[in-house]
Amino acid sequence: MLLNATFDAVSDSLPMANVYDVGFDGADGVHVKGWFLTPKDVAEPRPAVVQFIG
Amino acid sequence: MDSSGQGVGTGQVLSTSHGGQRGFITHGILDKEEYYYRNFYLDTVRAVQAVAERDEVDASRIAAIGGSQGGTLTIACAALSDQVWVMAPHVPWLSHFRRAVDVAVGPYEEITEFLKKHLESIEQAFETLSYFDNMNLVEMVNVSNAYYSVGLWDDICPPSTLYASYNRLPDSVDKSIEVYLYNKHEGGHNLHQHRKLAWLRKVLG
Repeated sequence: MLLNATFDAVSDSLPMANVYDVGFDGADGVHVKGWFLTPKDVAEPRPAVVQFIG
Repeated sequence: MDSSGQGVGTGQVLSTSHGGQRGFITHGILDKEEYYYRNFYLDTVRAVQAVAERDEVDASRIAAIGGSQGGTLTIACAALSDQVWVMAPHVPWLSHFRRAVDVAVGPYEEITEFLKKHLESIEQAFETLSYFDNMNLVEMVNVSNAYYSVGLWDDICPPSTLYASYNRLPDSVDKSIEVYLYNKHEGGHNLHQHRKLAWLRKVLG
């Protein structure tokens, strides 16, 4: 898997979304965390928004 | 994406060859290879790579967004990644460091504090910062559309520093900026959130 990326499903939060607890290898060797959310059903590939924290 | 060493889930292993700092903005400031934002900027490229690999995602339509430091990272990401289609930096930070250190309040003042102690390293510090300055990085941005926002009373990310970035976007970028006349660093808060979502929907389809 690219960057050792992991997408672990989280099922206890949003009923209308798929929620994943994400991690990937950062440039300094630390595992960087994030969230990945999609609608419940994705029939075809959709645009994505990557958000960075202030 | 979580922020290196600042959030909950992401650590940080930075080592620096100098001391006398608090916060993150002066970590490694005397060496561009050591500077805190070096790896942090590179992580934004990786975040986009990870997302682009997903089956649910159309990798040709990826937006980068964020406010303040997140706006900084948005511009850095769009400059360094070749997978960002559009970007929306909201009141972005870390632009025109020289000007910002002279006039801004907040985290930029950590640089002033550092320079007070490292009197012989002032030029060296600004040399490092020039590599991480959005005013410079923005010239490498290769997106279809860019949507900025600014609060004209913002004293944390002053408008003059922000426009230094906005004005240097490549001519090929279809750009616009939302100007909030009487707001400070919050910019257009809830109204801007609404406008940004409408903009994303328009440009991403």
